Amino acid sequence: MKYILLFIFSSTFILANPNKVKAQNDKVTLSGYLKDKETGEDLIGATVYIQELKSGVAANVYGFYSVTIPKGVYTVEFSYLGYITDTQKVDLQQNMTISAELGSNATKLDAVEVIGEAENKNIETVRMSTVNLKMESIKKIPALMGEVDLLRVIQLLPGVQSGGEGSTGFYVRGGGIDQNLILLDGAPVYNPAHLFGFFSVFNQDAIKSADLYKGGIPAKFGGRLSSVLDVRMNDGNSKKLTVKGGIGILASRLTIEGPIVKDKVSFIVSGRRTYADLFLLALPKDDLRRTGVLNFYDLSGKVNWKVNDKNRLYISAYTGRDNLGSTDFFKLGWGNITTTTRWNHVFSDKVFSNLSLLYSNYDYSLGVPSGPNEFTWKSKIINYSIKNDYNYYLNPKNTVEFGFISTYHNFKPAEVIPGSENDAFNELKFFDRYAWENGIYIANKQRIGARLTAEYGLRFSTFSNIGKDTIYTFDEDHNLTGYEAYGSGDIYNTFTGLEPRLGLKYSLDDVSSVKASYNRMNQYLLLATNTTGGAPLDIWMPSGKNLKPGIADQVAVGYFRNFKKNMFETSVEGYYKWMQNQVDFADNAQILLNKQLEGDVRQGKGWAYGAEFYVKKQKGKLTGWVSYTLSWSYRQMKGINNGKKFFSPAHRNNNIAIVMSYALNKKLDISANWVYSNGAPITTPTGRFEYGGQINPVYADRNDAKMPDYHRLDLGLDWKLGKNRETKRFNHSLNFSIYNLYNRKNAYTLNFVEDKSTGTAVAQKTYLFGFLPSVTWNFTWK
Amino acid sequence: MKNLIYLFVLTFLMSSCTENIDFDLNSEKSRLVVEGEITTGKAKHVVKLTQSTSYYYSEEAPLVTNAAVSLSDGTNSWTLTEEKPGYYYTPEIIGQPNLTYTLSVNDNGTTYSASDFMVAPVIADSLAVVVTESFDQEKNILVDAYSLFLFVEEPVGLGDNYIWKYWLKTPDSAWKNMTPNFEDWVVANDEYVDGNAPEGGWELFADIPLEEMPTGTQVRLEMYKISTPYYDFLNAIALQTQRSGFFDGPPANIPGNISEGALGFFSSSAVDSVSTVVK
Repeated sequence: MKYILLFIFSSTFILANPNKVKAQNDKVTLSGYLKDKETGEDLIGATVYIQELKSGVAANVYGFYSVTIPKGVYTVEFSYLGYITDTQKVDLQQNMTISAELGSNATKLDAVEVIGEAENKNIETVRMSTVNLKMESIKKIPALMGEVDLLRVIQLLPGVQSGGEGSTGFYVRGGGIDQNLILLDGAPVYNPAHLFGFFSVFNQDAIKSADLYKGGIPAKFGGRLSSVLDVRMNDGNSKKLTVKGGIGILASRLTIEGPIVKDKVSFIVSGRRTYADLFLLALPKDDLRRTGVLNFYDLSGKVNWKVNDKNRLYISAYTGRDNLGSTDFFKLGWGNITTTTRWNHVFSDKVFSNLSLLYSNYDYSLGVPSGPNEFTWKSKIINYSIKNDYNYYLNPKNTVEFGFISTYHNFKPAEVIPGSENDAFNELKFFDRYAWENGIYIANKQRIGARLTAEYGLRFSTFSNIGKDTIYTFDEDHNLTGYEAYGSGDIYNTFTGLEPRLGLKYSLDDVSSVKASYNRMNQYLLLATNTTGGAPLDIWMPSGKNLKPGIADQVAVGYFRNFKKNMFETSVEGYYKWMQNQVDFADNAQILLNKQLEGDVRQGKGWAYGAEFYVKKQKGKLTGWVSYTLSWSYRQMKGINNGKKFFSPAHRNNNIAIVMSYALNKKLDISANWVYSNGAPITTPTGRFEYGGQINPVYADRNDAKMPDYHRLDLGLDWKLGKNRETKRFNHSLNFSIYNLYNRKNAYTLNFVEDKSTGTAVAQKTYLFGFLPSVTWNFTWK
Repeated sequence: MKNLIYLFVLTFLMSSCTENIDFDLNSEKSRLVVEGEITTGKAKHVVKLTQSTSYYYSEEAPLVTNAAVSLSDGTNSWTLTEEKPGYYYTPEIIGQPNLTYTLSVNDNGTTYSASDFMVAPVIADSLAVVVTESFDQEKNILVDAYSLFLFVEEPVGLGDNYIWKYWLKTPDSAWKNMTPNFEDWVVANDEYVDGNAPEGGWELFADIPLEEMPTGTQVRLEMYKISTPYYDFLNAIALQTQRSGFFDGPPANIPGNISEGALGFFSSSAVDSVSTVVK
């Protein structure tokens, strides 16, 4: 608490003195916003370059830029990849606000472009291990059942590994599935997947772009060890009412956006829903067609109000839900709700502030709807946060970022309520748990000389457990020794952590650079999962007396080089990540409905290292990329595998992705992607014994073998219908896609079981998706 | 309750496909396996001894013969005789509640021992055979079937563990064991149901086709009250062998109570049974 007060005090001090700074120098500030001319959307990361000074600055995530330079006459270039550069002559004698609206370069836009900033941004920026994805450009990558999916696309990047076809999670650089911070307009999303990972919760028409940080994570982010996926929603077209949507085999979507007051207030509403029956028809077994219920929906809305030149207000909300079950027999559902309210304020042209209030609610429930066995089991996790982030554009060589976030967590692990007719089962209620998590940070990006840029920062985080609560205590052998009770509002345990962050870039010449980074991350919420890939029934546990927070230290180095005038972007990155207090469970632990779950937790160390190779072609008719990752990921903990090291579930020695898109002509784009990775590590039986008239397995080492390799080829075709002119109000297209073209039955799990029909023991694989074609019709009306 | 959850999710999610594949496995050395039980019934209680094998072994487990097997309750002890290869029988004795029974096996120079505490039995009130609705998987319709309902008040206090099994005797045949194997048994503890006595009884067995129990059939339900280590052993067997492919935890060894690294379990169970006749 005292740190937050100290912070607010010092930031007020800085903000109170901007005039003092101006009076002392002959420097003035040029600032403003960069937007899309047609829609009014903020251009995140657009560049403002001053020819005479041979330097420039990038706009922040709200499209705001600020640069403080000596008085004079300058030629200023406002640019953004995919847009026509706007060059203005500016006579800068006092502080000025110049905003620019850039027109899209769509007719010349090449098919797959995965960065939105300057063409050689990968060389120039100090950031490494980061990828920016624009929704517009990933729409052409072939998708499962025609649904373009952000989470599937990030799995095609180096260092990112899918958790498996039916799983909800992904692994970044050998880290666990619970180590990725997924933010939607700043609010955390706990389960980003519909239908066990078949689709993500991100509707392509509602999302503008996303940044994935795999390493060198900036000080403004904290709370997860391995990555940050920062997803931004569209603000809403502030110029013209636009309707977009699509009708597909699996789901349909509709988005309506437009101005409420032109150029001042805009809104966007997006929805998507699936149809159960059609999906079930794609499944091989017959008996579930009649009884199955399988659907999901998501709905998001946003209002964006430009109050005046210095103030903007955004309110966004998202809700989504999955329902599945078997009519009378049982039901299972889960969903996320997030809301964010943000106020942007510009102090003195040099200081940009964003104040956000965030709310996030993830819940799941399952049960039997009616009858003598009726019951409902519910579980929830709720967060309330207040966050304040500042960009302080000190001078052209230094950009300072600082801020804080304070979050109140409420965990409702489980509540089991039998139906009124059901007198067999007792009601079961687990204690609610509460925690308070804080982070404050300060960082500076500094240009040192002509070649070196350094970004250095420090984050300080705290996590406290709050009563009312009852904690079970355990001895060294994990036996229950008793419990401790805490009253309402008691803060009974606090963890703190200092998280230094460092990034360095050294330009070797105009076309190449070397980079290095170090980050330390702390994670206070840990995931109890029964499965290797994650499932909606997983339980988030706060650290506390029985569970230590996770800590990760990562170093990365890389060499970046562009060829042929930025047509080819290539990079090689190596990383090493040390992790502490990784979570695993004792043998035969029961994850569901276990009040003493913390007694079954085992914690130990993990470590991962690897090399990522990446080649991308970003201009021309043929575009795309090839990515190859060679990596290892291990764990070691007392009580598991006799204390010997074993492969972590994230370990995949080799991972290859080839993504290509070819613009055949003005109307047709074809695309293909091929992915390959080694199978997941598994524990295999080394013997068996008979008991109870059946075969029972005997195991030796944990994760001693691996599943068969995974690979598949997807194809896509995008066909623009009708006369596709820029000026036409209504445009439509057909998108065909084939998932898993050569129908490889990739193993999802491998179980060693008794084949009851023959009485022999066999290795049995479960597989999910074979050859799956689909068609989606997409339209835009404006 | 947990089993119910797993069962539902499992049935629903069996919508994926499965296929047997070739997959090479390593093999460990063979170990002794003990499967035996003493109950409160008057009988020649049996212990079966076999060997563990490689996972893909193509025949039944090899029996262990000529072992020296004995049982003790702390005061008395009895020698078990191998009446058929691999099967060792006690003389006709009755197991007593509140004693710890220890089995001792000497095979090939190594002495193994296993102990299990015999809990006191719970006395059941009565058994009812009731017609209920069942979903016929093949015909995809709802049909009538029999369910067995047990009336008993679950003793207050956590830590009670049970197995239920049942036998049928149709008018023109002998007593038939309807639950010979582990997969047929109903195994549960009182974690979510402690102290309850539902008005309609506990539905233990369901979906029994009407043809299997014609009028006049005698039904005998056996209730075994077992120790917590034995319950944990059976629970582990369920976790390790009933895998859905979706929500399984990581594979782990099944913890028995035999020393020297032998596998299996020697259990002591207190049994009570109730009978009724189908009208």
